[in-house]
Formats: sequence, structure tokens, C-alpha cells
Amino acid sequence: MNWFILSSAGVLLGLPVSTFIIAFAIPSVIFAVLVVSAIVSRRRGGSRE
Amino acid sequence: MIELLLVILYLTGMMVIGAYASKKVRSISDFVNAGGNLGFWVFSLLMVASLVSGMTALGVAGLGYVSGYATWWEQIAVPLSLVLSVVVFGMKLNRLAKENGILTVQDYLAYRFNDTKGLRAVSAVFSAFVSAVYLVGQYVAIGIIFKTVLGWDYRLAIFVSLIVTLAYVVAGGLLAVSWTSFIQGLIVISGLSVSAALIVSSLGGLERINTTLAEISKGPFAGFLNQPWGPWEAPLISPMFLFTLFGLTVPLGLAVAPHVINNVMSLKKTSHMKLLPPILFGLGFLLLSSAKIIGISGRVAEYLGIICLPQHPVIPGSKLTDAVFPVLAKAVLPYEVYVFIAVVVLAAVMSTTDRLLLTFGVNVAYDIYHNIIAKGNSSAKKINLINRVSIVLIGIITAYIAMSPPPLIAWLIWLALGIMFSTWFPALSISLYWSKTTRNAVLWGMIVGFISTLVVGYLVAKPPLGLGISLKVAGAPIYFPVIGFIASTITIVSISLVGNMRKEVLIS
Repeated sequence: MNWFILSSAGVLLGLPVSTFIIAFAIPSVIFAVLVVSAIVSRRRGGSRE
Repeated sequence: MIELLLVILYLTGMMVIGAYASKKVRSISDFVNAGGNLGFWVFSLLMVASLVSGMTALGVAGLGYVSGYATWWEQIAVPLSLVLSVVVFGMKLNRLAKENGILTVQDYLAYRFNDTKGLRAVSAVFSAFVSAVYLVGQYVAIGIIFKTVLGWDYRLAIFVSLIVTLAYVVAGGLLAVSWTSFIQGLIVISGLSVSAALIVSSLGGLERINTTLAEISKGPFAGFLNQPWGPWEAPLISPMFLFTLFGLTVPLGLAVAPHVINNVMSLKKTSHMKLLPPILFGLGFLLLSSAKIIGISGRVAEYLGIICLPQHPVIPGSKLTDAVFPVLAKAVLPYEVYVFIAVVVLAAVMSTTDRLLLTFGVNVAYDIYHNIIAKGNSSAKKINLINRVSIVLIGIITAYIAMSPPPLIAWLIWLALGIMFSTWFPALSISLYWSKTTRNAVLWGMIVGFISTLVVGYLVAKPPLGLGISLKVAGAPIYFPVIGFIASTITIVSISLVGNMRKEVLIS
């Protein structure tokens, strides 16, 4: 399993690096940003129910 | 035989939930938006399940088979639509629902512009139209999956699923839909992700699948299956087409889909909206990427001679690519797992079908009859009766059409997402965030968005349904609803500006 090891051929998980970034890295970044912003807005306690 | 027993068990379970929910329904609000009392997880799965349709379980896998990673943008766009629905619209609409008793998007428009008839009627009619068209597509998906997996008669499958969905939607309204969606959501998420993992494992792992995918040199989009996009001028996988489809139409259109956005009024605590985005994105991505990986694995499995897709029942000389999930599952999964596939796909299809039926019923009974014809003076009993009758009627009509769908219906289903994108997104987003938006601007913006999408859809559709004109920007194809979206946005902004200028002149 060389999931996180970039091979000399520029391939990651059998995919070109550009495809790998769009398929797995970008969604992971979006998810992380959403988690952080949810935690931050929760801590601010901005509920106006 | 076991497949059949599981399906019967599943259908019975859904009907029991509907019967139980019916005892809790006491008011119009209970039926229309579950009394605005849905908890965090039930609401989360309702949102995901409303969006996850037969198209997700079958169509996304089919697109993965055809285009590989070149359309992976879909896996980001669809989950983002749920995030947008909650962040852009959900927080404001849910608060308005708590403060002003708003039950539907049409209620919001009427409240926002102090409108009694026109705006509400136009929005409700468009919403009912889109829901009915989508319903036909869902029933077609049900027929195909049962024919492929269980060997059932196509029409019998549609008939059985119609009876069951009607039974629990008519009995329990959104309360029944949300409870069944919770179960259906869990079934679909676990079913698709486990199936994807087992299929990938049986083909030697994801790395081997991806390496083999790069070797495929025949069939559609060969040579680009492991790339994030194709050549500039290529259909479907051109960067410009991908941007207009998965960057604009899908995330913005699905965010305001009537069967999705009307859910946001049913969440109990507005503060929960802030925690929803990562949950919805995570669940959506898991589902969508599982379906796409299954489709990509199917293309590899066919290349390796493991499967052979059946011929398309309607299009001569074409393969039924939407059957890739059940066909591949049958070929490589253990029998104990394969028997659940019919239930997984049925849950995906029914979770959207039930919400669409309810949306149509609410549009007719609550928006059109109660608020327009009866001017808000009808009894809860009468509204619920009309709601249930219209749900039964549209269920029967759409299922009947799906039994032998005319080519026009396929064209309308293809148009539906574009109509949502061009008709509601500009109207709702601009009216929520720009205080100077006027009632006439939104009314005409919606009409212009709807009509221009129909017209452009006719121009670009292949003959004999359309003229087959190709839309291009700088030599690259674009997805057609963008035209209607731009036309609708310009209409709303310009009429609002003119209306405000007239007001200022009158005041001065």
C-alpha cells in the first residue's frame, strides 16, 4: 500500500497526481474546512433561536 | 428467493413505519414539515436520502463506467449542494419558519413579498411540474433494477413500489418520510460503501483497478478514464463543460430542488444548521464516491472479461450502463451480500420517490388550494384530504407514464435539474440576500428562467426531440441551463433596479 508515497512515475494510488488531488485530496480539504468552521461557529455560540 | 424475502421484509417495514407515523400526525404542519420537530440525525439522513435517488445508485455508477475519473467532480458537486442548501438557505429559512410559521418555499416567497397569489402560484406550479417529472424517472429506475436484479416484470415492479410508497406517504406525511428516510439512508450508505469496498477488494484493490483503467483503449472516453478532465473541445469531459455542469448546475440546482430545500423548515433547532455541513458533505461524498468507484470498477471488470453489460432496452446498439452496479455485484460479490443489493437500490429510489410525492401533494393542497383558491380559510381536515388525494393521483399517473415512457419524458427528466438551477436559485438567493429585490422581479425571473431553459433545452436536444445545436464558449461545449440561469439573474436584478428607481422618483 503506497497510498502516501509518490512514486517516481508521478503516480499515486495508480492515478496521475492531478487526478489523485481532485479525487481524494480536495474533498478531504473541503471536509476539514467544514469541520473547523462548524466548530468555530459553535464555539462562538451564534445561535439566535 | 432470499432476495424476494428481503424485499418483502423491507417493504413491510416501510409500511409499518408509515402506519405508526400516521398516529402522530395531527395538524397541517405535522404532515407538511413534521411539525418542525426533526432531530439532528433524522434531519441529516432526510437531506441525504432526499437527494440520493435511483440516479445515485444506478446513474452515478453508470457515469463512472462511461467516463471514469473524468467526471469525479460530481462527487464534490453533489455533496456541496447539500452544504449550500443548509448554509445559504437553511439557516435563514429555518429561522423564518420558527418565527413566522412558514412551511414551504412558496410560503417564504409569499411572506417576503407580501404576495397573495401570483408568485406563490407560479412557484408552486413549477415545483409540482419538476416533482412530477422526477417521479417518472424514479419509477423507471425502480423498474430497471427489479428487472435486472430480481428478474421481475418491469411493470409489476413499478406497481408494487407505487403501492408501498403511496401507503406510507399518504399515512404519515413528512413524519413518515423522515423516519423511513432515516432507515433508507442507513441502508444506502452502508450498502453502497460496503459493496464498493468488497468489489474493489475482489478486483485486486484500488491501485490495480486504477492501473488497469489506464490501459483501456477502447470504448467511450478511452485514454481519459484516469484523468481529471478531457480535451477542451470534448463533449461531457471538457473542462468548460465540467465547470458548467458540476461547478454550477449540479451544486446550485440541487441545493434548491423542491424535494431538498423544503426539508430545511423541518429541523427543530436552527443552531444545528451550523453543525450540519461537515456531516452532510461527509455522508454525501461517501455515498457518491462509492457509487462512482463501483462504476469505474465495472469498466475495468468488463475490460478483464469478468462482466458483460446487457443491451439498452430503449436505445438500440447501446449498453445499459446504469445496470453496471447490479451486474458487477452479481458477478463478484458473495451471494450473502448480493442478495441485499435490490434492497439497497430500492431504498435509494424510494427515499427520493416518497419526498417527491409529498412535495407534489403539498404544492397542490397547501400552496395552491389552501393559500390561493381558499385564501387561507380551509380546514386542516380538508387540506390533508386534498393532499392525500393529489399524492395518490400523481403517483398513479407518473407510474403509468413510467411503464412505457415516451421520449418526451426522457427529455423532461433531463431538463428538470436545469429548471431547478435556472428557476429557483436566482430567485431564492437574491431575494434572501438583497433587500431591494422586488416581487415582480422574482416572478418574472422565475418565468424567464423556466421558459428559457425549456427553449435552450429544445435547441440543444438531439433530433427528433430538438434541433441538435451545440452550445460552445471559446470552442468548448457548455451545459445548457447556464443560459436560463444568466437570463433569470439579469431579469431579477434589472427589474428590481428599475422598480426601486421608480419608487425613489415617486417619493421625491
